[in-house]
Amino acid sequence: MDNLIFGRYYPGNSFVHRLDPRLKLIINIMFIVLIFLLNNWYDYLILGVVVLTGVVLSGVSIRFFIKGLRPMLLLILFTVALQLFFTTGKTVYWQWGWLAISQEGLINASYIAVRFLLIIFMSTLLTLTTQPLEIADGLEYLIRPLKMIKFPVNDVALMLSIALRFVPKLMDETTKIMNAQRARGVDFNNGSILKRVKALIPLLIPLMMSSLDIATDLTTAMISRGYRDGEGRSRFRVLKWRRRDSLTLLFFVVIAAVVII
Amino acid sequence: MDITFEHVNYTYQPNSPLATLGLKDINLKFTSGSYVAIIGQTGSGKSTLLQHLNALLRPSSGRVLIGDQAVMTTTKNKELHDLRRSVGLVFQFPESQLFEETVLKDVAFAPKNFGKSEAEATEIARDTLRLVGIDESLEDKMPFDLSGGQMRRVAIAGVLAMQPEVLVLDEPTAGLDPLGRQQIMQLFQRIHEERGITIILVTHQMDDVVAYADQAVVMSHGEIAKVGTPAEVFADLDWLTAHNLELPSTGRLVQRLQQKGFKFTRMPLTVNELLADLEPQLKRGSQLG
Repeated sequence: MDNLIFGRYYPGNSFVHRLDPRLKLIINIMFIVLIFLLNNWYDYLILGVVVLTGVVLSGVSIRFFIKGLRPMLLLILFTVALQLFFTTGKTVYWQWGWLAISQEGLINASYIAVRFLLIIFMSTLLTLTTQPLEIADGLEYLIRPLKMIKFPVNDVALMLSIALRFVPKLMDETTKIMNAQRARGVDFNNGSILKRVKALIPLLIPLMMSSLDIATDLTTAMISRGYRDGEGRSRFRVLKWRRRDSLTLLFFVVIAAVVII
Repeated sequence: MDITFEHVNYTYQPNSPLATLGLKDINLKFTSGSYVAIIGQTGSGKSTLLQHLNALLRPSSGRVLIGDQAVMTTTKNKELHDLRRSVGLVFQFPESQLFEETVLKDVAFAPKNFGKSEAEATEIARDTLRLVGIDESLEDKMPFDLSGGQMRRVAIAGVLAMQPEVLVLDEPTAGLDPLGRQQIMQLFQRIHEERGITIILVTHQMDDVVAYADQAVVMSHGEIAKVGTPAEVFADLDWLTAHNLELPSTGRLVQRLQQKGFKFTRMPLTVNELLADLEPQLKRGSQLG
C-alpha cells in the first residue's frame, strides 16, 4: 500500500498548490475531454509539454509520479494488449489464429497508452497538490447549479468530504487488520485464487463492522453538535478565485483551442 | 526462544520524498522467559519495533534473529509462516480483528491456519477460552454481540490459541475499565508464570511496568534511550521528564513527600517498598513530636 500515491496529498506551497481547486477540477475535466477528441501526435506532444510544465511547477519530483504509475501498469498493459491484438486492419504484420497485429492496431494501442499516461499524470497532479477537502469544496461549488433540478447538492458534498476524510483512516484500519490476521496465520499473497478470495473474508468483515461503528459514532457526534441538514449553513472555508487562476484558465483555453484546430 | 535485534534500521516508504525513519540502529535482546515492557512517547517507534518481532515488517538493514531464524530485508514471505506461529501479536484494540460467526470458530481460526485439524483446533479454542475467562455459554454467540471487554478477551484468546512461545502485546488494556484492566494484566501474568511464555508489552501505564515487567526498554525518536530493570529506568527523575515519561503513581507520591521533607535513598516503586521506607521516618517523627 506504500506505493500507492494515487489520491494522496503531497504537502507543499508551489504555484500549482496555490491554484484554486475549482480551476484544477475544471482543467482536469477539460483535459480528459480533450484527450479523447484528439488523435494526432503533434497535439499529444503539446499536451505532454503542458502536463510536464504542471509537474515541474508543482515541485514534486517526476520520479514520484512514475513510481505512482506502477499499480496502474497492469491495467494499462492489459488495455494496450487488447487493442493491439484485437483491432482488425488492412496491413497485417503478424497473425496467429484470430490474434493479429495490424498497423491500425499498433496505432490504436499507442494512442491508448499515451492517453492513459497523460490522464493519470494530470489527475495525480490534481490529487498530489490539492487537499482532499479542497477538492470536495471545489466539487460542491461546481455541482451547485444542479440544485435547480432538485439534486441534493449539500448532502452529496457532505458525503464526499466525509468519504475523503475517512479514506486514510480506513486504509490504516485495513493495514492494521491485515497485519493482525497475518499474525494469526492468514496468507494474503499466496495460493490459488479461491484460497486468496477466502483469505479476504477475515479482512472484509471486520472492515465492514468497523465502518458501521465509525458511521454510528460520527452521526451521534454530528447530531450532538447541532447538525440538522446542509440547508442554511454558513461556511468556514471560503474558496477565493485569484488573478493567477484566471490567467491559468486562459492559458489552458488557448492551448485547447490550438490543439483542436 | 530468544529474539535478537542486530543493527536494525527501518525506513517507511523508502526511496520516496515521504520517506520517514521508523527505527535507528536498534540492538536489543529479548531473552526467553522474560517479561519486557517497552515504553516511550507516541510515535517513538514502539509499534514499528513490535512488528519486527514476528516479521510483519522486515528491517531495511540489519537483521532480527527470531529463535534461530534470521529475518533480513531479503527474507521471503514463505519462510515466515511458521515463525508467526511462535510469536503471537496482540494489536491495539484487537477486538477489531474478530470476524467469524461464533466465538469458538474465531478462536479456532489461528490454530487451523497453522495446520491443526478441525477437532484439534476446536479443542484448543475451548481450553483457551476457559483460560481467558470466557464462559461456555458464550461460545456459540456472534463475537459482535459481546461486550467490549469480552470481545477483547476473545480476541486475545484468538492469539493465545496459536500457543505462541512469545506473546507481544500492544497496549492490551487501552480503553478498558479498571477492573477489566486488572483482570487482563493478571491473565498475562498467569500465562507468563505457568507456561513460561516470554511477554513483550508496550504500554503507557507505568504502574503496570513496575508491577509486572522485569526489564524495561525506553524508546525515543526511533532509538533505544535506555534499557534496564524498572528500578533503574525510573531512578532518574530529570531524565524521565526530559523524555516526557511519566512516573508510576508511587513515584509521584514520593516526589510530593520529598517536598515535605521526607528522605528516600532509592526510588520506591511499589506500595510495599514505599511503606518500608516511610515507616522508620514516621516513627522517628512521632518520637520527636
